[in-house]
Amino acid sequence: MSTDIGPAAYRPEEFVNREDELDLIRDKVGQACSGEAVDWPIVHFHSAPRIGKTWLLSHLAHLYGHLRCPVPSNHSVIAIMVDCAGVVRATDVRAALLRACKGGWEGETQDSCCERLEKAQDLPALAEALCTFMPERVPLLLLDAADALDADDFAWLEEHLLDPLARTDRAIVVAAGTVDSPHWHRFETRRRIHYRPLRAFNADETAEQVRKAGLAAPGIDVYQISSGHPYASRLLAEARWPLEDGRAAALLQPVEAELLRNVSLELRDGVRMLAVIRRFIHIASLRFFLSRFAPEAREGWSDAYYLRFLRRLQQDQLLIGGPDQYEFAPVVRDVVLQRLRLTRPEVYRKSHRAALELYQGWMKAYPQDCGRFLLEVIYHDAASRASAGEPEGDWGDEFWGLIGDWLSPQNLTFDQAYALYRGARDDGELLRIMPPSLHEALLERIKRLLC
Amino acid sequence: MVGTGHPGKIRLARTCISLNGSIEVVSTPPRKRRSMNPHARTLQESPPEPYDPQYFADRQRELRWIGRKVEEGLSGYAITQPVVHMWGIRGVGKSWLLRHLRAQHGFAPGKGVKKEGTLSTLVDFAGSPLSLREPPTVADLLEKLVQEVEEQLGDRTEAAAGELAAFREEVVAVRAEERREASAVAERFVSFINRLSHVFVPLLLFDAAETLDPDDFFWLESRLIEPIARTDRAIFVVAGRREIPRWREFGARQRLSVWELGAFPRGGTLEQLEMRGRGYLGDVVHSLSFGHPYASQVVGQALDQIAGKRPAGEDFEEQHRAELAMVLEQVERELLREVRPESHKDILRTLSVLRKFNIESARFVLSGVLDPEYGKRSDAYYLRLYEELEDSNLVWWSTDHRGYVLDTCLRRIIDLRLQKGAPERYVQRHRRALELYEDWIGKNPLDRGSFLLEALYHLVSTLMGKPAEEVQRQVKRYLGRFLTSGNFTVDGADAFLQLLVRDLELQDHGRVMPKPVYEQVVQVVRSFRDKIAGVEPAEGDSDEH
Repeated sequence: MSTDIGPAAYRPEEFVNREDELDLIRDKVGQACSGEAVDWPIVHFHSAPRIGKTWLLSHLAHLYGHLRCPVPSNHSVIAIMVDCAGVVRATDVRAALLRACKGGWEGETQDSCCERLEKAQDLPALAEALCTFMPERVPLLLLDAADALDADDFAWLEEHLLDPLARTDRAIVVAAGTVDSPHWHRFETRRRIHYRPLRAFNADETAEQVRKAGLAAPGIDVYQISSGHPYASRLLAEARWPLEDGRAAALLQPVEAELLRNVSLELRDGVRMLAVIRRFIHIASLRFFLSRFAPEAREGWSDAYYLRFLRRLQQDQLLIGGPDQYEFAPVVRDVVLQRLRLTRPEVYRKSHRAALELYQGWMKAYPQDCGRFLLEVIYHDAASRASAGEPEGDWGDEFWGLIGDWLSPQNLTFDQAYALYRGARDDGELLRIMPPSLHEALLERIKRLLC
Repeated sequence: MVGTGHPGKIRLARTCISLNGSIEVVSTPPRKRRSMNPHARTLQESPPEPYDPQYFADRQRELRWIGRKVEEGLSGYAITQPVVHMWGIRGVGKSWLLRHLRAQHGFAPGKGVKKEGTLSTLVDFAGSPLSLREPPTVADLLEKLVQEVEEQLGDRTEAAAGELAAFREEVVAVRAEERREASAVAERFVSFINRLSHVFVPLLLFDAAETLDPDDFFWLESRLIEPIARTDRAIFVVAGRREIPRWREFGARQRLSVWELGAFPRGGTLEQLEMRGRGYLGDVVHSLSFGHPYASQVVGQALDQIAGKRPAGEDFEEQHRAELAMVLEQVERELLREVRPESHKDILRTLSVLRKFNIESARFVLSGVLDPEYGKRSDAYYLRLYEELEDSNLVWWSTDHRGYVLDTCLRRIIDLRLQKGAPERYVQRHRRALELYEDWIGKNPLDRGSFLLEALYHLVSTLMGKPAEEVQRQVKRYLGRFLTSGNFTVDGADAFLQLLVRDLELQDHGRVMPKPVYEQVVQVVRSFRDKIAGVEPAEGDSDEH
């Protein structure tokens, strides 16, 4: 099955949320129009795939390109949007810019500006032409999918167009990509960049997204499956509700494929299974999971290999830094885990058992720190039992057998026991899967260590 | 030995204070009287200002979030997560926001598509006592809410005339009969609001929820909030100084969103000051108040007097060191005002040297900085102490840090005040903390990175006032001592680097670590990680932004 999906076509009437991001650009446009130097005139939006960067940039082009956004009198904004995914080489950017100019402006603005731009034979001349419009006309250059440009091409574009524009502190450049791509090299551009992550929607925002699209699906229920990933929400909301598990899993398939598109095929399954882990994602856990579940991977792969792999996942924003090394970005983990649970329940269970084994190993290896891993042991044991549909009454003996010995003053300091108590008490995910009576009993057992 | 108090909290019985069975006497360590500063009288005490709409700044995001819920209601949709629990420390602006919401969403005809408009009511529990043991207080409170509704809607309350009459009857009965319970009057109130919510979108705002007894709060939740919220036609915003009380009713919990109301970003502080004609001080005030609105109010006021409308130059802080220390002390005093007993204020001041703390670290620092007696206190004593400190709403447990944290603004204000006003004490307490983390680095291989990060924070603090080159040299030497392949695996080094690049406090205003020092540290750690991982240097030149 093809996993090549494009973003849903932008429709201004369905654009929702992103007020903070729109405010950010509005403030910069306001500064430029008032003749002030713009603070951080380059904005680099980055996110996991299909979170809505294209929609945001298209909306900015829509607002400013057609003067739908108020700007001070005697000023205007020249909004030029280029989809870099459709540009083969940087040399084509000039042509793309001109195309964007012609399509985006109206009346006198188009004629006079385009005339000047068309005379520009190369990028430096184009930059110069754009600079001549200032300060009455503020150039707003929108580079969508800027990460799609070849690194050398981007460097060339940066040197000849973006850097001269940015140095004026009167033009605004908005680029969309991943956290580390496009990679900005030049000192003068780097010191003017505002990196801004684009996040998934919250429950309210998802509900609004669904409503604005004119769909009848219950927003809060959609959110519970999509975790606010806008593209997933859209697909789910378009389906007939109530939604069966199998259908939900099928609808999430292209979203998951898109999220994992940069993970090589032989490692993709390993990453899916790794998604059961909530924290402590690092070389050791990757090695454990990939060597077990990705047949192509080898235990003997070097630290450097795994470190590069981790950084790749981080740059694609699948992983984020957490208090315990890396963890999956919540929306990524939720989507991948939902799919795993719904489509391959036996693998889902097996992955939790593997995680359990991993943490048990670490508890033995680092007994002085066992408290940190014990909560994860409890979680993975509960998750695998819950997914197997084990009757709640059957959990007790094995569960206490698993953790009982560790719950002693010899293994846990007072501080560790207290941290475990607070962790177990406030662990929302654990609360959802563990029988309440067992959870209560667990808290009571830990409390005994505190007396 | 362990009893229960608030839901989910450990409450230790008095007889369990000491692990050896004896009862400890919790004495207040002797305090030295500070000499009066002659300038002290020139500064006026400034309590948090009452709400004034013309000075309302920032909070656009929160207003938008609530606005979105209101829009949902006005368009006839079920409101998504109609219960909002908003928490934040004293002076952060909860009351201002609630009052602003009340003003924004009071009834005005013609607002809605499917409904006639919004109506808003506000109760401040700090000024309106509510106690189940005294049912007339419940009747008073609900009657006040109804009055607010009537003032806004006038004749339009006809839509719920029957419910209103029944409510009034019950209010009279509660006041007349001593033993009558408050449940029935709450039911009538719920019916009244639920009837109105077919035509209007009610916004019910509750301020100072932390002042309620937990049982009273639970009653409020189960008898008032949940039965109204489950219609998904009315919005509740409950503000308090702490994240708990924990919501117990399933119907409320599944409709709940919890927001922490934090300090203002730089832009918010600038806006706050500009509104009072003090915009020229925006940046310097923000770097001293850390965006806490009350602190910005006081610092802005004082600096305006000191600066006399002249822009603050680079040496402004150095020139006015003593005055700044006094202003910060005033802020600190106000933020700590409700902490009881008095001795806990000194404990909090002392613990403010640590960015996170548990029993072992608190014991070490308190005994070394405040009073050696704290070294003899039992674990149970500290647990009880933390429980009491949590009641101050300035300290809470952080799952991410696996330890307690003091509110960041307050912690940094205290630390800065000491840096300005008592530099020797400032250095001494950071030295003590440094000693602690150096010890821990040796003992805990898994957490080495996080402890080294804290050690660096304290090391740089002890070097306060030294030239940047000197700090850079010492920090580099220090890192060289610990960054060895014997101490760190690749995972450990990478974890350290990730913590470093995410630590916004170290990068903020250069207050803790001058920018060149920070950049050098990142570079050294990155090179070390790449070297032990066998990664080419060119590959490792970037990390998360």
